[in-house]
Amino acid sequence: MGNVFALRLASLSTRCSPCQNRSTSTSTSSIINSTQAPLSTQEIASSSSSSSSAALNLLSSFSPPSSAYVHLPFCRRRCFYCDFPVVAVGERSEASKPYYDSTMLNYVDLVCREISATARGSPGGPLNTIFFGGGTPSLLPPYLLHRILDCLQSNFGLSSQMEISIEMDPGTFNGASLSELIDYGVNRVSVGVQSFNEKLLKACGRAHSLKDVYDAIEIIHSSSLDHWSLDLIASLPFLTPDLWMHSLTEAVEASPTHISVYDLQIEEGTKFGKWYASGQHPLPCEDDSAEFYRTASRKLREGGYDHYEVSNYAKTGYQCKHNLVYWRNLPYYAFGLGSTSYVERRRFSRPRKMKAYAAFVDDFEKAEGKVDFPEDSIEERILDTIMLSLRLAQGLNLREFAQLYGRSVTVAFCRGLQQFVESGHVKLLDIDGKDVGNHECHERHGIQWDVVERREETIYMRSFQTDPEAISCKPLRTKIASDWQALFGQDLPSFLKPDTVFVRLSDPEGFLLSNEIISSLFSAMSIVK
Amino acid sequence: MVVVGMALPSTSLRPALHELAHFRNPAFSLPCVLLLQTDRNFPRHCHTSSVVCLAGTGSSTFRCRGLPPGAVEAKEDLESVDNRKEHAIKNGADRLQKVPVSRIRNFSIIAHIDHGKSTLADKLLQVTGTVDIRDMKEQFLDNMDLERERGITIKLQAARMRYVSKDGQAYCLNLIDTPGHVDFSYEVSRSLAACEGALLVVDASQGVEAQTLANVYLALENNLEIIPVLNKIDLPGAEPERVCKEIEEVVGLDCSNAIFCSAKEGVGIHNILEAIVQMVPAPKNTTQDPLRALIFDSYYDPYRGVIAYFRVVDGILKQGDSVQFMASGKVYEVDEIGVLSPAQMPVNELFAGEVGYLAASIRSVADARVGDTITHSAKAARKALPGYQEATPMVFCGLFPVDADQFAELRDALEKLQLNDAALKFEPETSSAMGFGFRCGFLGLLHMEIVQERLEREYNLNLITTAPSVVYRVILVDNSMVECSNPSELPDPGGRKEINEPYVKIDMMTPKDYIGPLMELAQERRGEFKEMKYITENRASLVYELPLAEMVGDFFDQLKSRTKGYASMEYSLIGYRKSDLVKLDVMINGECVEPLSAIVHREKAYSVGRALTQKLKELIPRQLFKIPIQACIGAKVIASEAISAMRKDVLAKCYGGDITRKKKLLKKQAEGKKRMKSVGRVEVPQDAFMAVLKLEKQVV
Repeated sequence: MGNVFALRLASLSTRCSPCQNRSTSTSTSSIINSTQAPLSTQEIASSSSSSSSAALNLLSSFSPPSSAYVHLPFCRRRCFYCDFPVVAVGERSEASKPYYDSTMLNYVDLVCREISATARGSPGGPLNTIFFGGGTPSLLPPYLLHRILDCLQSNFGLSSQMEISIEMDPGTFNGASLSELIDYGVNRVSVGVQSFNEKLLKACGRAHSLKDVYDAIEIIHSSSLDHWSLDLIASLPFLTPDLWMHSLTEAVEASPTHISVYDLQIEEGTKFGKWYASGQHPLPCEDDSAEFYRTASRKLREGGYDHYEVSNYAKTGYQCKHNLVYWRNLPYYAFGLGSTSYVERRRFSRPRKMKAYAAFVDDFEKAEGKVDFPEDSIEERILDTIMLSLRLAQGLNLREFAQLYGRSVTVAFCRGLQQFVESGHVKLLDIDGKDVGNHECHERHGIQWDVVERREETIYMRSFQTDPEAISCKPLRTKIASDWQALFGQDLPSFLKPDTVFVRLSDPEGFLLSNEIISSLFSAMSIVK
Repeated sequence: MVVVGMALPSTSLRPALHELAHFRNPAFSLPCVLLLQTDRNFPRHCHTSSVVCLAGTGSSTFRCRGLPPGAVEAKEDLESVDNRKEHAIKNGADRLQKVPVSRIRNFSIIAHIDHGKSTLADKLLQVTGTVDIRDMKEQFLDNMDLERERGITIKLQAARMRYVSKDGQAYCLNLIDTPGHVDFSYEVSRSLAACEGALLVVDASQGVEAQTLANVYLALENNLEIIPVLNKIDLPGAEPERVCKEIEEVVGLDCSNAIFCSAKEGVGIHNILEAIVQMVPAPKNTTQDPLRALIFDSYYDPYRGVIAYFRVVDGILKQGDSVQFMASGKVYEVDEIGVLSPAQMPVNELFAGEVGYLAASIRSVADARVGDTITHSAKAARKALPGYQEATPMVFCGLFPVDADQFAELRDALEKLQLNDAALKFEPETSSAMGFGFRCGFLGLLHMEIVQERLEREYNLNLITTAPSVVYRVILVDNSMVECSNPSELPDPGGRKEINEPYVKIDMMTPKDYIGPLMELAQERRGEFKEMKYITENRASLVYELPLAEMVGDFFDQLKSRTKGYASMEYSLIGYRKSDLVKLDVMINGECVEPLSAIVHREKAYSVGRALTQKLKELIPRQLFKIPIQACIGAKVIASEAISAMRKDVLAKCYGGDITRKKKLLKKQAEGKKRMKSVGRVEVPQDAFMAVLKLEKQVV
């Protein structure tokens, strides 16, 4: 049964790809057939050489990365909630300057050595996205950032349409340093505002003032930067509904193209972890912080932002391409202290302590850029796919899921979904990203198909979206329905409407309970093993 | 001189040395070496009163202070003890040697729990050389881990010893060790039937306890010669004389020749052995009669089939004999016979009066039941020996595997346990919330706990136990009667006329200070006061009649905790009485959770219902929707709570570096769901069931 379906899907993907002429039906079907069983490395190697787009699609996590994350761990001080690998260096004063500069210089040297070694061991690129995260990357003198960019370019190459993001904290940059960064190619800035209230900023140990926040927004507005993001933290201690509404209003007022709203997580080993217990005063209770989340979702969507991921909002066309790489389970390089890369299906985390990291780079160079680390199993990839794609408004592409992981996995997944579809926490979307069975509904789900993707159906859909009249979707819808019938047979879940392609968590209720739902699905999947 | 200080806390070391200096015998010229043994089990308040000195060339036992008069008599000449010990150890190796029937002594030890029965048995084995010192461990005869851990005896055990008495004759002593707990009195009665005498061990500081009495009466019923032994005379609180008086008054046993001993310190052991030789009658010499042997225990050995433990009453049994089991009528050829010493040691023949085991490739325990009589198939005895009354379960509960896949394993395990534990009864049961399991009957709560623990430990099963219940007798409207031990099988209120429940007469013994708390406890448990009498000036016996259902809960724990452990109890079933009982159901999200149903007295239903719903509210995690929890009698809700819906459970960030860690968290969360049982749409953690069942045990 599964094989029949696989063949059908294969032929479908060939026929229904008006913009894709590269696929050859023979190679596609052979690959899809083999997805009943986990793909072996051999199969992968041989099929990727066929350069079929379906193959690329299936093997996307195994293709060479075209994204890179660079961790710049320096901070003036550690915020009370932070459990990231950071290096607190204090303020840069005349006295501290030599130490300050040499520390950063040495670190950038290490990172550049890691980049070069990586390029030898796992060549890839050209890079479509680069993300400088931290820490406070804006503490790094622009010329050092330039050095890293140069190093990335010479080792991997940069594509012309690339996105280069950097996290910046208010009070750590000015007009001159920003424009220097823009000159080097930075085209997206993420500003760590966290709150528009002086007291709350103090309460969470931020190194900047509220004035720094407004100054930073002003600096960005006067720059040539088109794409910038503003970060807020919800559910900070002492937060009230009024204060939260104020922060949201000010955020929208600042009119960034992108807003991230993170719910405060109390981590062990942080100051907050020592002081506070989740859900207890001064932290908001569960009901209140749920309400903060709903308010943010409503307010920001009203402000013209799509809620495209659990914690992320963007104006149309301004989603963060780099972060979408993570959520689509695509490969990425990572460099620097404590960073995690996903290359050749290996999720590898670097040491979080500077000394250990330096030692790692030494060994890494000796090993010619290879790490001795096991590849993710297919089970892990299934869980990754579920966990990551359900965080997106776009949701999980169930057809692709069935293609990749086969019938029994899909049946188990759908069994797990049942109760959440019934409770309304999970929604089914058709190929247009609209609610299934409701063609009149033009509610936006913030779905943008225009990034990173090389998937046939997606590309097909993009063309459909941009020009709805161009292609009649009727034959495809019929096809989808008959494919489900073929796949499930007797096990066809009652909730699965014929034209279902995507499943997503509802906004805000489904997103709010994403852990509960995803862990339930994990538990449903464990039956398959 | 070698000085051995037993269990001296370091703080009392100095006074001990000081006192020893007074006692130092100038005749000893050797330097003094002090060896200290620290023993956690030894009471801390035991100071210098129990310093025992052993000298290399001969010495004596010093009891420095608080010397009870009996202890003086117990003082022995250590030189001859040493010699005798050596002699005994030599003899121990010869314990397979035959002695005439007139020199066989079969005895058991009866005692209240914790009065030192197993320690005394250990010492007897040691002193007679039955067990090498290097093989010796505490509670030697209790070979189940569980027995050692809890310090109790569950299964009876037998051990043959050889002892050369003062008269120079070698005797064969068969000790049949028995459990002390009231739940296992069934086992006690079995072993007593195989003996001619019993040591009645009484703690010299605690005196007569409820089970002392119960066991004495059992022994008297079997016409056994009873030798009173006052144990633990080394304790500072020991009052052997007062306890002697108590035994004489309460039990009516002559204590003029009672033996004072300390099994722990090895004082008076030889006196006990001598007393056994002198006082316990030899078995009747009926070697010439046709074979009759009484099976008092059996177990299943996967390699040799059923192994039966028996006492030869008449005749001779030889290896290779063809024997018949008189009740089952089955005939087998004996592959192996032997004695228990305490390990199985094969011999060629066993005479009347001897205790031993046989293996005959018996496939089914039913063929060689405990209580059956073994005879020769060719020359059968005319009449079987009187057997035992079959044990009737008093307490029932459901046992369900946590993991439904373990059902078959649970069945196998129960079957295997039943081979060695005839009192265990079980039948399959199905429950909507718990799946497939078994309804099991036990002799009492301890028995239930022990079985459950053995299943979990020895068979690696993970179990849920439902609230224990008793067998109710329901009179239906047509005057017919049905028995019901499972709340879910209780006939509808419309169909039943009345419910009768089993009552027990309970006899509690307590220091007079705790009479009040015990009366309160009995009142709370619907007890009817019957009688109170003072055994001695300070101790009283309280008699109540109360429903067995009230006792199967935590009654015993409560009795102990309310009297600081001083009270003891004994109970016996006295029949059924009509009661105003109702079935209390628990509904979670509108679904009745059968395993949590209970049959309770109407007056208690409200408080039980409230306690149950509150506990469940605490233990069931918030879920996607609001969950009402109700306790009902029929359709009437008598208590209710609600768990509000889960509001938020979201991970804020999930970027490249977070994926592995967040996945781990979610996997852990998923793992937690596996330990949940679905009740309708509600996921109820296993712990919640357990906690509620425990609560039911307490309050029902």
